[in-house]
Amino acid sequence: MHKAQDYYPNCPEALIVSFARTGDRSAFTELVRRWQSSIRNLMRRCCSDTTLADDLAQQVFLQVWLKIHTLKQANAFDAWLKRLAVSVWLQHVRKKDALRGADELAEVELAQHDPTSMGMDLDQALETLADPVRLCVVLSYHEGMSHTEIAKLIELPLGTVKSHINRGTQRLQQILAAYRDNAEES
Amino acid sequence: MTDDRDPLLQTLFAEAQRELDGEAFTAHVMARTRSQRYQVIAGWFGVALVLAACTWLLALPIQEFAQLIVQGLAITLIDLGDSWLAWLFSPVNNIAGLLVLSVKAIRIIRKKIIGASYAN
Repeated sequence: MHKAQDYYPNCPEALIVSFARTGDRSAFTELVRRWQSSIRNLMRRCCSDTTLADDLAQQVFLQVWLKIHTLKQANAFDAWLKRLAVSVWLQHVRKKDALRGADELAEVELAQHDPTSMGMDLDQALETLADPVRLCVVLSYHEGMSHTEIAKLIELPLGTVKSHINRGTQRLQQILAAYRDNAEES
Repeated sequence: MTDDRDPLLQTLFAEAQRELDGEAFTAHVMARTRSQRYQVIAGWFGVALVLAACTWLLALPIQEFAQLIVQGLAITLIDLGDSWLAWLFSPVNNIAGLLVLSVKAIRIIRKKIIGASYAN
């Protein structure tokens, strides 16, 4: 005889979220299985350390488990999950106190970095950006969010978000173009 | 600036997005939710234990304090002796009665003032 959880992989997400809201561990496991890749990738773009990224992703899912009963609409789960992920990332950033003076730090790192080095990939390039700039760029390019959505999510003025994305894009273009040219030459 | 994205960066972000194997990760998350549940249970047990200890330790002082208040509230306002008048006024001839009547009077006055201001 089949158990209810055997059908979860084929169930619509809203239904699984509804079950998870009632404390169904199997439904929650299915949600983790479905979303782990997306959240881990998001965290990996935010911090280039894969171990830390996975740890933060786990914290996101622990928060989901604790708070899922507060979610009013089951079909709003993906947006809610993203909000939680960003909140966990911001908490981590605040904890390490990197937001303070991060712009200056990133400028220094960028100046010291050799843009023609072969080891430069997207994550390493992202690492040279200040935390708020990186977060805005990641949400825009990785999550495909609009500037307005990002501003609302991270509670920053729209102008600041636009400026962060503009600056971040220019820096990434600069670094990655040098890397690409170097790769093409070799 | 609009929401337009740089195509090269967009391609790089799309390429960096990998489907990660989730079995070990999911198992780890589920194990952590279990240990978190035990922590919450242990926390509530600890709080209950502290409350029980406080109740046990402070039961006598709380009881004495309550007795003092009851005695204070029962103090007679006017000494009417042992006459029938003393029995008649005994519910109101004490501090508690005075407090209750004062609160009632204040509420009535307040209602009248508010009612009058609405009527105007």
